[in-house]
Amino acid sequence: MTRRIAAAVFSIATLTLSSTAQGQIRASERSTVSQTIDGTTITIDYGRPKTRGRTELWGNPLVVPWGKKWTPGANWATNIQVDKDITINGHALPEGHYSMWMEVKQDGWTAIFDPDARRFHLQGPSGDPNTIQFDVQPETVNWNTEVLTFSFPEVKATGSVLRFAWGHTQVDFDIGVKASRPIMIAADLAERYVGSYDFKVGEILGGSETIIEITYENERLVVRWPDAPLAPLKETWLQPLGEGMFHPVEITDGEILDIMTFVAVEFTPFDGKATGFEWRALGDELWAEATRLPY
Amino acid sequence: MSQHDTPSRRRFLTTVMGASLTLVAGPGNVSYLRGHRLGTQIDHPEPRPDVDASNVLSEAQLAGFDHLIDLYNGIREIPHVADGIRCMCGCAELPGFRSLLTCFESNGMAMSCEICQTEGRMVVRYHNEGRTLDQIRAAITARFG
Repeated sequence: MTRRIAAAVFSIATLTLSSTAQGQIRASERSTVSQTIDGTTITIDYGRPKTRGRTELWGNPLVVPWGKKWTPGANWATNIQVDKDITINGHALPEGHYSMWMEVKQDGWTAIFDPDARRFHLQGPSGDPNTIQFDVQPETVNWNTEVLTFSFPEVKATGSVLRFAWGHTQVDFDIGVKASRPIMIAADLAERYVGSYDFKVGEILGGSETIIEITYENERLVVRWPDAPLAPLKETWLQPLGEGMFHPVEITDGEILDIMTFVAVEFTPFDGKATGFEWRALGDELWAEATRLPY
Repeated sequence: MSQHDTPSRRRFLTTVMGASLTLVAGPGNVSYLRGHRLGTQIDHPEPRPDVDASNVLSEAQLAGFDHLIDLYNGIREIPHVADGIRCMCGCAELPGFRSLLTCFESNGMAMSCEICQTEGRMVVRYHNEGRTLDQIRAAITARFG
């Protein structure tokens, strides 16, 4: 009888304990967020602590003391994985897997990307010589982010914004990716398209007729449209797609701002010296057409 | 928000962008200067020899979608071409979807998909310009591949 009771108690205890372990709620649950930009995928894996009414997070010895190299997350260090080389705030971050840390100081923070990805929060960064680090300026905002969050609030053809937010603080990282299709074109191909064109624009772009110039500079086709309705369209590059087709590329200060992937510039004929071109948008809608002017 | 994203630029982009094209990048070492996406390989289906337009939605079935009638009529004229083009919106991964022609048949995918519609209009236009099936395939691959 005693053995039967003991066995029953043991069974009940085992079942109870195992079900409790499987259903355990963690104080900082794990999360993953991922963003693909033009074929490059960035993934953040991190623990999500809560503020739980704590209004002072930074410089609080019980949360993140000043000078601490803290992983923006909980438990196992926040990880960032990139499947192709990217830039982050202009700094090269090669393809790979990194643990992420922030050195939290009163006069600014330092972001640290450590190639040793598997580290616990108590260990801090490894000091690996290939560590990438740079200063960032946290921003104080009016709203409270209760649960520590990573997100990608802005995505363009050429990059994204990665945002860290916790409490009333956020830090934005400017992510840059390599274009899956290069912008450059060989000189003999470019020669087909270079010239002056009589450009007629549909109502959606302001409805006008003007002369535009296509030139070949630094291995790129450059389109100059002085009367463009928007400043980024006054000078654009053409990203070659093949078959006489291009995407317009918005540029600013000589850098790519965005690639207008919803527009195709189609030259005719598609396989020879161009006599003109059309701007076609989604739905194959004709936005503009151009005729080459005689030399 | 980017410092370059002025209100007028945002309004312009919001007004004219109905949907985003998803371009699938591929690895490879084809000379980028020749204007080709690096190493893209798109497999367009072979048109079935006995294909016809009998399953393409009729005008009656397009009630309420008057803006698509001309497109469906255009595809109806060239089932043998549309059946040789891969649809690039992702529906090609679904069971039962064989070609761009399928998108305009009973399941009605092209009624709501802007990629199907754009691709369909391009195929009709290129065919009417006299391009061969291979030339049309190359243009679709260049645009969407």
